[in-house]
Amino acid sequence: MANTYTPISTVTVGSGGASSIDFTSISQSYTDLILKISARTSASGNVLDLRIRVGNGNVDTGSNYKYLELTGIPSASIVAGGGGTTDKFNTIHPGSSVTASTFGSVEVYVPNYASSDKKSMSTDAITENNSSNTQLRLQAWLWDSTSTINTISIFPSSGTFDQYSTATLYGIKNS
Amino acid sequence: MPTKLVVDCSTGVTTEVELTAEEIAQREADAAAFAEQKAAEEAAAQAKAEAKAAAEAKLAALGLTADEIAALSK
Repeated sequence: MANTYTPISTVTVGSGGASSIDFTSISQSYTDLILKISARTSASGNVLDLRIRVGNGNVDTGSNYKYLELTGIPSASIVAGGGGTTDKFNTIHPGSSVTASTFGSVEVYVPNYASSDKKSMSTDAITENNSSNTQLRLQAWLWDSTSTINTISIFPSSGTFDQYSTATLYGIKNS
Repeated sequence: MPTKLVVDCSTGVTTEVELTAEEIAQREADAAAFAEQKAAEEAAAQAKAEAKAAAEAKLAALGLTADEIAALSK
């Protein structure tokens, strides 16, 4: 059982927005990582992709990102499943069409990120909105690489992160 | 010029960096691909809704009530 929960870095987007948030030179001294994101994007839409790439030194842009997911759309009573392989992880966050000043939430758990095993991860994400068109997405991810992770890049599918979007990276130790 | 926030976790320093031309091109390609994907998803959803409506109309023409048709999809 993890007994530590150490904030490594927090980023808050300024008034000019940001195309991405990149965590680099991540210490290899933790057992697991947790990434918590509160974000919305300038591009039009209620539910937009929030993309994540990981790597060692540079982010991996190859088709090495595998996923299984469940998406819930409460307003339509829909639960949809999916899976596949892509060149990035895709979760969700709100675009500019949702209620003003409302941000979505994403959590990514990355166990054993410094090991030589392939990297499995789990995520949950919601798009907040003070009306309809919200979504919930639960995913299992696999970065199909034995490299350790010391770089994580977060970026929207289009547009830029709005001011006050935040991303915090935590380290977890098992001892 | 669009920028990105780069956090050096070894120092805690966050730097605002302008995107390179290659990064901008990649973001634009990503955005175009996302728009195309969304359009395809919306077209598929529309086709599914139209097929459902057509099927319900045919069932109604066969004499099924609205409640009976609704029961089929539960």
